[in-house]
Amino acid sequence: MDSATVLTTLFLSIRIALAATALNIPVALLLVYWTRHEFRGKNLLDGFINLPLVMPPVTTGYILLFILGKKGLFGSVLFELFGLRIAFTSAAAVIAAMVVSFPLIVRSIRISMDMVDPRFERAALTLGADRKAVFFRITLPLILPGVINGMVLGFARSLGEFGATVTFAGNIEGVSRTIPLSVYALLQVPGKEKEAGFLVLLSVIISFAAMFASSVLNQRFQKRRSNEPKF
Amino acid sequence: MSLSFDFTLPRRDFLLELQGEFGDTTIGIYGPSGAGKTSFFSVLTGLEKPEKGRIVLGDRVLVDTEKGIFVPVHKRRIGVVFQEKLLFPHLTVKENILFGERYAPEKHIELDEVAELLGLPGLLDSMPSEISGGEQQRAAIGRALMTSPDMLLLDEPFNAVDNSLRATILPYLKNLRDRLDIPFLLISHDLPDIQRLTDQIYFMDQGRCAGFGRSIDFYGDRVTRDSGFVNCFRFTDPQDLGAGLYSAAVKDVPDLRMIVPKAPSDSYSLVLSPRAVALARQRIKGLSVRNQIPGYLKKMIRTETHVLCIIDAGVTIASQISVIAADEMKLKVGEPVCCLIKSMSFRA
Repeated sequence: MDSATVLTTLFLSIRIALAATALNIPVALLLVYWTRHEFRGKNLLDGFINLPLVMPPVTTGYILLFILGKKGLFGSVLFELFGLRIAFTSAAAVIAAMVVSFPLIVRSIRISMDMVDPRFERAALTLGADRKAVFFRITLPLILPGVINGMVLGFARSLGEFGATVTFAGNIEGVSRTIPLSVYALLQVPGKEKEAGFLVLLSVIISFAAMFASSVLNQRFQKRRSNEPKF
Repeated sequence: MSLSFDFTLPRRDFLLELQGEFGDTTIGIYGPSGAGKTSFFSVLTGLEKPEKGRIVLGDRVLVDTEKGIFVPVHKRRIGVVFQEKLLFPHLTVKENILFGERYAPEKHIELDEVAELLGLPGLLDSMPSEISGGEQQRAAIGRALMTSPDMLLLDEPFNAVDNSLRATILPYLKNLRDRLDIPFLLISHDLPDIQRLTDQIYFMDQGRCAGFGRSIDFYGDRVTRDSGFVNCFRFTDPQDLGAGLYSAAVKDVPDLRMIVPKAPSDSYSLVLSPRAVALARQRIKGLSVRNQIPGYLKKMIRTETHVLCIIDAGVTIASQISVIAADEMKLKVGEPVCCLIKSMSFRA
């Protein structure tokens, strides 16, 4: 395995994980914001969102294939109308990563959102801010630690995604062969343990860097709001 | 800017049913806990929708349920200072104060002036968690003022987080009241606190208006009976008599001066418990009491244990004496009496 292939795998992994996280965050934010208050069917919705967390990823991949595959429920329509193929593309890898990491992001944001005192938002309304402004100037900054935590968790989960990806997106070099898939493929070939080990090391470094960045950021937020007087 | 309102809103334990018309002054909203004071504010600010009714501020109709008008909270231009202050924890004091400035259609006041009025210049770069309760209160007032509101609502501004809060907030509120010409509505469950700022009081009880006017006119009513009603005098032109006493002119009453123990500024107010006012038929010689103020007995309210006497001495003075004393003196409305007030009985 040459360095070009390693780089391709590395960048593909990061690109897929970043895309999945970037697409998930706004959706998760909106979902948590709109489902903040108790309503009928909230538990049902929560159960549905959290499903990928407890389901074997391969089954998630199967369901995705069933829905979005070329002959799937929705995928067949897309293919016939627009000639669009989703399964076994990079997009499929992104979708697989999105689905499995979404519940983690939602959870993290929801925990933060539950801690936001709605009276702050009401106070902001009385100061002239409309709902949108209140969200961006009050709610979002207050839940930012949870959003960042969700981003890191989601990114790490996406980076490590295997089962759903291999089922729904395949294991195609340059398309869907992310680091874990590559490690798996290398381990199938005798004498490639060293290369596999190198990729494992890379993923450890990336994961660690993400966790480190998130804890530094969180610390910074805490410091800004701390009780310590400034000297 | 005037405010008129007439609305109903069902609450869990009572029906909030209020009418009134407030002018361009400071109005105290007084009532016991659970009288619906905070709900009243919620309806004015638009955080709650009345079941039916109409609210008009200046020339703007804020609510008219018949015509289906309901101006949303953020467009009402009513400044609110919440009991819990609610400074945004992620913003500095300065950022908090400037929060609503950009939404104000016109600017009546600058940051520097607000900071100056409220004694905040040294705190602007602090985070809300780093400053005291009284300072947070002032910052919250500043934040509401920077939106250049048409009216300012203050919910229990004296509800003490620390005991010194009252002392740290009152002078600033007086400053503001004198400098800005917008109506101030001030909720408190403590009547003397309101009296220190204004004598226009809207009494609330169980969701209804129990009276609107000078506190003394409702003195002895059910609502004010246990309220700790006080006489509140506004003084000017204090002259130092030495030994810690001052002779101060009672504002707007010619030729009436009282001997008081305080003179923090040229114009100030002091309160006096009705229990600290004794009555005599005439002036008494050789008495340690420094203030002997002649007047006429205007009104007497009898309760089981005491008699509340309202005396017109140019300024209205309330005196609480025992039933036995009143009977012995054979006091009657219209008769001349002399109010005896120890100078040390006046409080800030």
